[in-house]
Amino acid sequence: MSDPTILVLSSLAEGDKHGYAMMEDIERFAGVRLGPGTLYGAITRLEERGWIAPSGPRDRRQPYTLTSVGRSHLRLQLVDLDRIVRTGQRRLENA
Amino acid sequence: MNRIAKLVSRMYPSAWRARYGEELEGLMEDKSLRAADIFDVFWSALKMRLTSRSFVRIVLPCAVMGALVGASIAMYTPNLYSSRSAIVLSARNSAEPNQPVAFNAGPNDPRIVALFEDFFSDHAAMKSIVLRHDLYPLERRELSMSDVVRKMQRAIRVLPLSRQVQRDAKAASAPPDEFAFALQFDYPDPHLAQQVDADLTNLFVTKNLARTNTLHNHGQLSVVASPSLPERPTGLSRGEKSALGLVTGIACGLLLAAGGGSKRGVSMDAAR
Repeated sequence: MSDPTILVLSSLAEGDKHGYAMMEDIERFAGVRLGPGTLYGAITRLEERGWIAPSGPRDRRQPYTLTSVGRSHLRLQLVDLDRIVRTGQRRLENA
Repeated sequence: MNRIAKLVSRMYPSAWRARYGEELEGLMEDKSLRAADIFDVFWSALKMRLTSRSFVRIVLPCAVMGALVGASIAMYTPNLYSSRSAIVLSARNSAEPNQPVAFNAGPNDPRIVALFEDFFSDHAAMKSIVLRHDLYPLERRELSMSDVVRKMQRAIRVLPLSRQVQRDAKAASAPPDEFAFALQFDYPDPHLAQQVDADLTNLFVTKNLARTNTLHNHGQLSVVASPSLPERPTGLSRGEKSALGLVTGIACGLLLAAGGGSKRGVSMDAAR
């Protein structure tokens, strides 16, 4: 659940954000404090895969947006995660 | 803290810095950073450097080259085993053992030097040792016997022993006025090294036993530690030489990559 790429994609699912806003948002909704290096490592990977893209002109506080491919990927990942969570909960209840 | 973080962020490959450097700096200025954040930047930059394609392209061949050079050197330079005996020249007066006697002869004393010169110049005795133990079989096919004997002489070392070693080697009652040394022989076979060192020790003692009295009226020559059977090779083993070559190759590669990477820039694939 602490995979930085899923956290960044989930944060951007709400709307465009720059690095600082992503860090704050992720800390709020996931309780995970991403370091600046980890965050930008994830941003680099996600941009190269075409799952996120810079929005607006280049800036020191560059906002990023979730692409349609990124949105599909996030949806698939969340379905997988949901299945794992449900299975785990069911097994815990039956144990 | 932010100044340190900025410095650390320079570790990122230049191509990455050109694209994301300003954004990262902007983020670090906005956020109040902790030590963990600086480590996070350092670790991420290091991972990016180590996994970049150009970095691997430089470091990997250097590492392979270093390992090959190390392995080649190891192949052509066999492991050597050193057998040592300890010999003491002392001024102990056997007639009056409690009487302290000044020996007054150090390793550079011409009379001591003469003992070793005589020992080393006995080519006939050394040749018989070579033949008795069938030493240097390959060299004997290609070199003259006198060259083989010279090679053997180069494998003999005379090492003056420190006071501490003398005390360990001798009984506590040993007089302080003495000159102790180790007679060492290096050979690729540890058992042969020991046997030959025993012969050399015998040769030295028998040649010089009588002459010792010329150093002092009551001079004595005694073997206080018989030739050892070496368990480990002297210096680096073959495996260690190969490993050293590998490490040196990696180190050279790292230096080259660090220098070259900052000039040329590093592929963005590094972020994967």
